[in-house]
Amino acid sequence: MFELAIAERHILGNPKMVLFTVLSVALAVGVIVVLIGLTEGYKVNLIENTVENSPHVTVEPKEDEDYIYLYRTLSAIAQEDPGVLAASPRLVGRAAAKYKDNVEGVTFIGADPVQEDILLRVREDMVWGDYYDLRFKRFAAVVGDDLADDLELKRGDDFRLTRQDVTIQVKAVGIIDTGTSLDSTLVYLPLDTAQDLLDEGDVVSEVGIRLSDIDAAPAIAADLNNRTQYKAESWQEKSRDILEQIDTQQIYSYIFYLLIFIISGFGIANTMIMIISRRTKEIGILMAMGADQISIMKIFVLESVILGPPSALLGGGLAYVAAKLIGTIEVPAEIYIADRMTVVLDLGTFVYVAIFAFLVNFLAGIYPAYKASRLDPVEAIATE
Amino acid sequence: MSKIIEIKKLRKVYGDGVELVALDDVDLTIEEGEVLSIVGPSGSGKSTLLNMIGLLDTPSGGEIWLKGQNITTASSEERARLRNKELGFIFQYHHLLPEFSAVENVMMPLLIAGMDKKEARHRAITLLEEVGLGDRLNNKPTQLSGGQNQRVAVARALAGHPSIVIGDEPTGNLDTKSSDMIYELLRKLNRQMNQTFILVTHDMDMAEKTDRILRLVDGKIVCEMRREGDKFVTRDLCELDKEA
Repeated sequence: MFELAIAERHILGNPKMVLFTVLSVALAVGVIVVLIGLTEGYKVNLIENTVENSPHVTVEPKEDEDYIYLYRTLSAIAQEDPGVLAASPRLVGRAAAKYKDNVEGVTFIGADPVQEDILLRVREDMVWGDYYDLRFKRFAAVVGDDLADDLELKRGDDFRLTRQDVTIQVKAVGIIDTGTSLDSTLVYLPLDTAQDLLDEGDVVSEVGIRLSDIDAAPAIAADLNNRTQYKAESWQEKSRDILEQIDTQQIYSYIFYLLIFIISGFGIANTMIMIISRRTKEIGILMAMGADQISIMKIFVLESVILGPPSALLGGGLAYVAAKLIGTIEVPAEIYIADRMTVVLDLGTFVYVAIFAFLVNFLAGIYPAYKASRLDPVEAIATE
Repeated sequence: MSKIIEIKKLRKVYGDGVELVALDDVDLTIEEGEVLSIVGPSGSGKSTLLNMIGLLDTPSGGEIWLKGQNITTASSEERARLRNKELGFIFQYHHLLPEFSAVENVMMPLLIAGMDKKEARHRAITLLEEVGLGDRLNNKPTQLSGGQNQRVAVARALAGHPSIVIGDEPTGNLDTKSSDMIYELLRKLNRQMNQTFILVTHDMDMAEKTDRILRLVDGKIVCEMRREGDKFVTRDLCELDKEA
């Protein structure tokens, strides 16, 4: 393979040109691997977040009713399944919170603290106070930390909650930080206090269910739908829209990745054309020595392809470093679902991207190599 | 002696609109083992004729026969193969591959022919020793003088045992001493291996050392002189008045 020997010498003879070509492809590889990793990371975070911070199965009122009346029976039915860890009847509603001159809109959740704690691990997120206090203190509340800041509410202060004509006064016995955007609106109440505020009697708006196996959620939801007239929905169904949205966006992302590769492909083609125009005379001499068109083409396609593996490796390294750096940056809960962005670096993704980079090198090399192979030897040798 | 090249009514016309006749119905026969020189003013068609014989260029009309085979319309692969097997080129500038050492440059036509690397290296070393560069094997072209590089180029041209060696001003870029050395080298190899040499030159001193001199003017052979002993005999096709 004299073609390989020549290709190798050409590459070693043009270190700067080669370096920039390798860098352009490496950057493309790195950027694409990180972007794919970010999307995957977002998906993982989203699922974790959903699974940790919302019920695995949510049971909502019957078709033409606003609330669930026989929630104790419903909870009991749900808990017949051994996979159900907790069934927490919850009353979720909107109200206004007033403290001194500050007024904020809030989302209140009235629930039995024991069931709710199994459902959403509420106590793990407490930054002050004890969520279990709500079991014994009727007019007590646990408040999201951002909401407390907005209201300028201090620990142990009394504040008022108003919904339509009903106003109740509660004491802030705990501060919670869930790490999500909910922190600026959340107020936990004892269930009967929430019912007082709603003024609709002994009702709840949903029953949240936690399972030992999150993958069993669709089956259990279907089972509840069969056995009762309530609407049970698994977490997979609830987050289907957003997961589908991510997948749709992914299509645009792939077009974008393709464009990045095409741009770097032009860079390679440009470098190859430069190398070939510098080597025109040499190509003529090789032809005079009996190298045929296929050999000439081989030399320059090889030159382009040889740059593939180092580009892919360097790109992989860049992606790794970038992923580590991104992982150290703290992001506000309002703009992202977790306090740090996760980049999922998957070897499979890297291999796909590397193969693609290799292909780009190959394709970008073909046209210049073809042009080189079609040079007229007499003219090529006469080139100065 | 047998005919190695036969050229019949060879024409080469350049240009689309304004035609430039580079070769005008040239007939020429070259014998095996002959050392032939082609002289003539610039633009007379010397290099064109040489490129035709060297299978680097294709004629507009006429025929070229190499060893009894009509190669006028040979495919580009076949021409490449014949260039590799039958022909060796020496150019005015050495045209060595700059990134390769002397021995690697000489090996190149052998590797193109598909020879094993070890064998090619052995042959290249033998040739470089023969041209007096046995101690410069691993030097790159930038580390050698003009004369030395041209000797490497001679070794490269001869590497594949070609039956014809073509030289386009092979000493045109060298001083007299190096020129003589190169010519003597070619002549020695010609005697040893009975290779045919076709040289285009401006240097009449060198032309006069060859077996036959062809003078080309405006794409036609206007004069042919053949050596007989120490003298040159002018053939009847020589139009001496045109030569002036």
